[in-house]
Order: sequence, then C-alpha cells, then structure tokens
Amino acid sequence: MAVDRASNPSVLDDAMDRYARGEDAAFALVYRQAAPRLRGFLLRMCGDPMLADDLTQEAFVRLHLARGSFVAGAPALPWMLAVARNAFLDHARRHHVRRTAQERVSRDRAAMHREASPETRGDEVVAARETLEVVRVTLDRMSLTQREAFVLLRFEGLSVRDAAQVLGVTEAAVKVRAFRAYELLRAALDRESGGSTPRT
Amino acid sequence: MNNDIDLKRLGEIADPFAETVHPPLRPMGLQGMPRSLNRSRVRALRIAAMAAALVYDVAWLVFVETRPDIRSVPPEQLAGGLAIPLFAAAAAMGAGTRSGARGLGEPKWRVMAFAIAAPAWFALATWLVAPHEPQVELFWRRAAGCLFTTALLALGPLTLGVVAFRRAFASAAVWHTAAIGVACGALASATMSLACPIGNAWHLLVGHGAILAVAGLCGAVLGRWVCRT
Repeated sequence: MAVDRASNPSVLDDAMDRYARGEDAAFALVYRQAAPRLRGFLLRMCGDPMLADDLTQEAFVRLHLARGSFVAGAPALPWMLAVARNAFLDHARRHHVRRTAQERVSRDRAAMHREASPETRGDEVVAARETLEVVRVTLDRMSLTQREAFVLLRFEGLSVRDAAQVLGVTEAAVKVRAFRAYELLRAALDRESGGSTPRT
Repeated sequence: MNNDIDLKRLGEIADPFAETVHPPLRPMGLQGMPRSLNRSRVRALRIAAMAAALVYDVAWLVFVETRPDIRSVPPEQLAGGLAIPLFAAAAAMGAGTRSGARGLGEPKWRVMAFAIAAPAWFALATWLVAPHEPQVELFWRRAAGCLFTTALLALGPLTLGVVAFRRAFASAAVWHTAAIGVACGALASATMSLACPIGNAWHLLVGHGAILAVAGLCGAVLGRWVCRT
C-alpha cells in the first residue's frame, strides 16, 4: 500500500488533540504531519497538482474552523480525510473538475509520446510509464464513488471500516466500490498489454 | 458478492502519482485565518444551546399558552403525552450527536435508522395509545393551528441546534442534522401536549406529529449548508 510513512499517526493524533484544545502552536506540527497525506489524497482524487495544493489549503482552513468538533481520543487522519473530501466535492460541484482533469491527461499523454524517442520507445521505463498513464486515465474516467473508495483503500491505506466512516457509507459498499474500481483498472491494463498482463 | 471480494488484489495496481505526491509543501500558518472555537468552548456552546432550547419551549408554556384543563387531566395521560415524543427526541438527538467510535459520528445507516424510526415510533405509539373518539370539530383548522404552533416551538431549538453544531459533521452531515431536526420537532410536540387540550389520535398525528418530519427535512437542508465541515 502506498502510504506515507513520514507522518506518524500517534504524533498527529496528539498534535491534533492539543490543537483542538486551543493550543495554536500545535498547528505547525499538525500541518507538517497531515498536509502530505491530505495533498496525496486530493491529488489522486483530482489529478492536478496545482489544484491539489489549493484544495489542501482549503481543507486546512476548514480543519481550523472545525477544530473544536474534533473528538478527544479519536484518530485524526480519518476525520481530516473526510474534511478534505468535502473540500474536493464542493470544488468538483463548482468547477466540473473531471473535465479539466481529462484535458490535462490528454495533454500529458501527448507530451509523453513526444518525449519518448525512437531509441527508448521499447524501453521498460516507457512501458512502466504507459502503465501508470493507463491507471491515471482510468481513475479519471471512473465514477467518483468508485475512485474515492479505491484511493482510500489502495493508496491511503485506510481500513475498510475507516474508509466507510470517511465516505459515510456501509463497509459493504466500500468493498464493492473499491473492487469495481479495481476491475475497471485491471481490464484497462489488460487491454493495454493485449491481455498479457500477469495477475499477481 | 462481498464474500467474493479479495481486497488484497487492489495492491496489483501501481500508484500513478507516487513520484509527484510529495513536493515541497506551501507554507501555511494561522495568520490571517478567522478565529475558531476550541473544544471546551464548543462543548459549552452546545450545552448552552440545549439549555436555551428547553427554556424557549418552557417559556412558551409559561407566557403564551397552557392547556386550560391541565389541573384536571389524569397525570398518567399527561405523562404519556410527554413520554412518547420525548423518547423520540432523545433517541434522535443521541444518534445525531454521538461522536462514534472513530470520531466521525455514528455510522450513516444507524443515524438514518434513528432519524426515520423516531417519527415512526411517535406515529405508532400515538396511534396505539391515544383515543380515536370523539371526532374533533373543525379538524383541519385546529390541526393546522397546532402545526403552526409546533413549528414555532421547533424553530427556536432548531436554530440553536444548527448554530451549536455549525461545521460539526465531516461525514453524513445531512443525516446527522436531520436527526437533530427530528429531535427538535419531537421536543416541540412534547411541549404542545401541555399546551393543547385535544387528545384525539388523528389530531395528535397531524397537528402535533407532522412537525417531526418537517423539522427533520429542515434540519437536513440546513445541515448540508451549515453543519458540514
């Protein structure tokens, strides 16, 4: 699982608890610990690094305004991811983020083909990049509900129970959505490799 | 289908953002941010809001109207009229405001169940307990009058609740505030049982009970915009 090990859950929980109690000095530590995780989640949701930066800042403003509602002793990360998700959903509703993400993907794909010279085109590096590009395009094209369930389980390393709480759905729904996302990605990767991608 | 799902297979999918996910972060501090309440102040605000909501409804009984037959009504009848809506209010309020095991509130399905079950409980218990005879003269006019009064009685607690739980819910905010709305409607219904002398089951359902659903809907709408973090 692609989880950022730089952020320490117990340090983050303790810092968030102090911040919720009114200790403003704890904000710097909360930001240092949580911002990479929230930015990673938002980047995987929107696909645009600049937008992910903006949404991370928006999420922290929301966290600041709602800090008094953070429950003592609760794990901070699921709560923060839920707030970040709300920031993303509000933005997506306002700006049709999927369309811009698809335009960006098209631009990136064109740039990648330009960069790949005839000598390196058959290289493993290019093949790996193409695989990642397929994953990125498929993530952008799948439904938001499938994408967020998959991202939380696969890349953010949340348990099914925590992901269900963040998304406000049942654990069964999280499993089904994430697995359907996986099936879409698997099918896209199989198509890309002509059906020869080995299953691990 | 759930039993067939092997989530370990999700690990087969590579992360397309692995290289770009950790750039230098933009600096961010509290300078220029609006002030926010800390946990103890939020707790104090919520307790004060609940106390004010109770005072608001009691003040209605003291200063506006109390049922004229209140001294002659059997105590068990008064207690029944209070207990049914107050039980619904407590159940809905508990489901809407409990912090849950992970600090994100009760699971959505449980909040939904309580938000729907509380009005259903009120309707069923009232239907079973309250007398169906005699028929009420000018039924719709009296029911509309009581519905208007219960709406006023619910308005104060609901406003206080929305203010006290502003930005409180990171997940399933609509259902949490719907449950709070149902609780406010049930409190208004309990208050109304001490203000209105009509005990007919149909009158209680329409005039005193419809506010549970109305306040729940209002809570859901307000929650979407005000109480979501």
